[in-house]
Amino acid sequence: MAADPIDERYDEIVRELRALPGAPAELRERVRRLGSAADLQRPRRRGLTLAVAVGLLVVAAVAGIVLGSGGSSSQKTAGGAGADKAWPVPATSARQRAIFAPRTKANALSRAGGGGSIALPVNPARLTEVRASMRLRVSSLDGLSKTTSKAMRITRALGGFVQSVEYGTPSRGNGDAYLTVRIPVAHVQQAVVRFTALGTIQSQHIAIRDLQDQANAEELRILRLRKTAVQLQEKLRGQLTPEERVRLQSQLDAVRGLLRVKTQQHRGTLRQGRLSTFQLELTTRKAAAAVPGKPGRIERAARHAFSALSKTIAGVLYALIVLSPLLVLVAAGLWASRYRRRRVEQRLLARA
Amino acid sequence: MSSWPARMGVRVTAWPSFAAIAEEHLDAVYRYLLLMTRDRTTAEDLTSETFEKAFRSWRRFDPRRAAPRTWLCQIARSAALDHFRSEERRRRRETRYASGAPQADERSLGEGLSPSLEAALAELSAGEREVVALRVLLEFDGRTAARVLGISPTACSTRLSRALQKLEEKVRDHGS
Repeated sequence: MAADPIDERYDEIVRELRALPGAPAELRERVRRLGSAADLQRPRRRGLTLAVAVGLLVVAAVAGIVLGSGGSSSQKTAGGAGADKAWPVPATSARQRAIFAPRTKANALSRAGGGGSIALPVNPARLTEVRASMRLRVSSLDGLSKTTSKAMRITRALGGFVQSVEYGTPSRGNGDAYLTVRIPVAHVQQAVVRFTALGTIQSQHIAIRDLQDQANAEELRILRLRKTAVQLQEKLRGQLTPEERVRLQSQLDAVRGLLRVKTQQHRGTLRQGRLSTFQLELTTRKAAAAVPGKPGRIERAARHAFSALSKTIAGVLYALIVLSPLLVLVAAGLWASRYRRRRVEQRLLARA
Repeated sequence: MSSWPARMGVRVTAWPSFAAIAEEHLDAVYRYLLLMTRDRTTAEDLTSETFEKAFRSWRRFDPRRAAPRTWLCQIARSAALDHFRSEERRRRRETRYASGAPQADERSLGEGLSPSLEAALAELSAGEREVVALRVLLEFDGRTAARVLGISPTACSTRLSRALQKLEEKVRDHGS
């Protein structure tokens, strides 16, 4: 607290003021007694705060690790390295989806077919739409040609057909082949196993959707429409006025038109549920970047913590945005009351 | 045996005792209040009140946030303001019943001051005497004094300069 110098002009006044007497002995004694009564230990609130903070940090870290490791059991079932979706629940659910990232030739799905540890959730008793896309790497241009032929043979062997094929091998460099094949849903499991064995998997994606409920609803609608059409036909055979006849005939035409549309739609659904679609991409190119392996316990905990932190920050920002007008009002009120208090004090001191 | 934060390498602040602080700053607080009130008895009472208040809030005092002297001066200032408020109320009440007759100012700073300086100080407002007390008597720097007064350092400096100038003029007037 180094004092700023006072103007030398006022030296005499300053000297005289500083010679003002100190506190009288009686007051000194009174304050000394108060001081000795206050001979108490300073509370260790800082240490306590520090201890609580450290304890909370430890608890948060442990909780993060435990939650991070415990919360991914479904991913374990998926088995794919870097899988960002878990294997779906059994085939009775309305919509199912499975996405796999690549790892090696001996991928989880390959092992699923071979070892039978993981099975595609396709129930043969129900109509199911299956769409799969795979990107497989083959070793050479020569191998690409052979593998493409083999993929087509597998398709036919499984009772399916090749919808389209595109094969390209430039004179130098890498080659690619793109196949779209349709395979009966009953043989999807085998198809996955045999296609994944054709090369090193670079990426794969399988989407499964239950169509049984949709097909049942369509069938029911068609039956009702047929019944309505029969009833209208019977009415038309009876005695009717010309106006009624015209009206009923137009109704019958509308019902028949709708019946045609619904029947076509139902056929499409049945076709969709019987044949799966596989899009195969065979290439000699290497994968663009290595896919990260399955995250470890610490990484999962860190991700979990980061996610929680992001949510907290988002919540705080939201609260700030919502409360900002109120905060501005409160701040203005505080400032005004402080200003008013200062003014009152100044007036009081000016009068005293 | 040291405490666990110290063993962990955390720097632990040594808390001063209240008795030591009271002993060290008693004179400063008293002189500050004396100059503000210009009355020895009132200054003694207010000093005593200040230390009682300080004792009650001693647990909340954090030496890292303010120096003990600044803290004590803030308490003393609050006590002085309360005193001035009650004095003003009392004066108003008395004026109402005493047919407005002016009362003689019998306050005195006591020994040590020349009559001209004492008379000059009497003509200064409490606000002006306060800034003189903080900057001249207690030798606070501009920032600390401004903090106690709740104003900006620039305003504090201006107020001090005006107060000293006025004081010098009044001393000259009374001396001649």
